[in-house]
Amino acid sequence: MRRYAIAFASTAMITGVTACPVCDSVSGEELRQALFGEELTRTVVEVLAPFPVLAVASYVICRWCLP
Amino acid sequence: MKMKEKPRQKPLLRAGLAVGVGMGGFLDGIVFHQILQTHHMLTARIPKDSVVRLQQNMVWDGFFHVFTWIVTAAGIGMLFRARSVPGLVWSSHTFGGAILMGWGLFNMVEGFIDHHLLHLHHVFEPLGVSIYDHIFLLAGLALFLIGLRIIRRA
Repeated sequence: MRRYAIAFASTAMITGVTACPVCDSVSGEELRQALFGEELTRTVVEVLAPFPVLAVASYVICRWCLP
Repeated sequence: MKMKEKPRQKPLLRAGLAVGVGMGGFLDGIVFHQILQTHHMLTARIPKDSVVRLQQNMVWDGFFHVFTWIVTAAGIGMLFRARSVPGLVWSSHTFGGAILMGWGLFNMVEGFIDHHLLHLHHVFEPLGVSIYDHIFLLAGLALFLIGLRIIRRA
């Protein structure tokens, strides 16, 4: 199972990097500059913020609120 | 004397909640981000007034969808593992109710954090925080309560 997961993740990563349709264009360069600026870490944290809260809320609901 | 096994529902509820959260995320992304395009992930901060800014928003939409995909996959995994739990009651009402609860939970948590707390985007971006954001939260609460009621009746 783990072997398949690693193979899938590797394939997805390679495909994502090589098949990026905007990587070689002017807008692609602008996009990279905009994405990988100083705000990157903060933006990642903020975009993904609901997921840990959802995980904790689901756990609490399953543990204490459901029959 | 053989003890009678207590009927169990928790594994099914757990799987349903995860699938519901994931499907709620996908529905938000498909309907609001892609079909209606009323907002994207960061439109309150990065308005989609140029191709590059729109692309930026699409990249962050993508990261959001990666995580909704992971949550959905985790839910399917939990459902698959639930088949070997002894005494598990396979009830479509329980599973369906848990999916509704998960969907409602997604709307409430994502709506509160992204729309009201961090102001990353709003349901109808040109209006900012509007009645639509409140409807989004209320719809989440309604789905959650309907799901809970279905589970309790099941």
